[in-house]
Amino acid sequence: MKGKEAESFYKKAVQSGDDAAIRRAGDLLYDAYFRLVFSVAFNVLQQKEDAEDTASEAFTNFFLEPHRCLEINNIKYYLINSARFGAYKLLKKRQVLPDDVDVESITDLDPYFGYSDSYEQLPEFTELNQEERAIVAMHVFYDFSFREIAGELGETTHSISGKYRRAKQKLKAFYKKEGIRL
Amino acid sequence: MRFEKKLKRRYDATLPIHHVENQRASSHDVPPRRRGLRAAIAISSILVAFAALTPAIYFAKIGSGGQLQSSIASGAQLQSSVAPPPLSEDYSGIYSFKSELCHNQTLSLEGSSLSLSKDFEASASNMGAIHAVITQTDYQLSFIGSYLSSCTFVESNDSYVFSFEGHSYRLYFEFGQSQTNNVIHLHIRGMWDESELIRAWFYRPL
Repeated sequence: MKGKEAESFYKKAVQSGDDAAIRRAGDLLYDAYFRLVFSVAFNVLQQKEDAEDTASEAFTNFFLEPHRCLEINNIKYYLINSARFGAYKLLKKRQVLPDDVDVESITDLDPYFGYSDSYEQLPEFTELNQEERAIVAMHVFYDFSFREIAGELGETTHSISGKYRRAKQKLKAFYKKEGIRL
Repeated sequence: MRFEKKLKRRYDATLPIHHVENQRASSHDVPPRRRGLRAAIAISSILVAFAALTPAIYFAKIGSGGQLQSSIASGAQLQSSVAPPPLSEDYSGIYSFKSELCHNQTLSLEGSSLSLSKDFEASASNMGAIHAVITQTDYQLSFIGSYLSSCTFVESNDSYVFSFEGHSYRLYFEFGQSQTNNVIHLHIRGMWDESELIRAWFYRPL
């Protein structure tokens, strides 16, 4: 089941008030998005177990208050942001990042946080600037539409699609230069 | 197959997620996975790490006097002939760009990674606004781009200070080692009139 269908299914289950249906729908939502949420957390934390716990916590918090989903327009986006903040909190706790930066303000100060961080296994990403890395990651890895990316980064859809196209050209040029076949 | 699918497949291969997916029983059973055991391990490791962390933090402040040179043509450069204190750890490796906080657009850092060799020579890839070169014998910072088309450097006793448009800036690097998170992190900080202007974090696994 695709993400949007799972979101709709979960919301209907919550509206019905049937606990068994909510659990089943929750499983579908989890199956649809866990990989995505995990990869965002892993991108920041670079450790499987930490990312796993952070992603799990994002889902747990979400499932603890089922009715909140009715107020959430985009559950995927909500879960991803929850994982981003969770990962940031963990980094602060581990003293990788200083204490004097609010978790809530990190995305205002760095809108690419969690999207553009680390792709050490993908050397082609060194060809891209921070914004391009974020756009490619959000679109290709995290399955955001250009419209969703535009909303997240405060730009127009046209601008995002143009930047994505240029980033894609850079990646293709890199593969050609390095003789890499995808 | 479309380009996006191929790239996604390439990215997915870097994720250790196949192990994760097999562990799920139900979405509502998600949280406690190994958490009891891990909590116990975490508490003991925090106690151990707390003792180990403090002496492991190493501050490498840029410059402790010495000659300064500036080259306006390529942005600006500053050099010191005074050798930095010896490093207690081997900090060589590829550092990933972690985060950037910039409260003022006058000076910013853009980049993806910073490579540090064993002899403490650093080069940064994809850094639009700042390029840092550090060697065991010279600290050198090159500011590239339009942000600092002209500036003058003055000497300070404990760090490099440079002035730009009437304001004083101080720039230094800090290295830290976090045993609990198994990373070495490099923290670049820029101070402007006692206010922090730039913070950039890089990290690499231990």
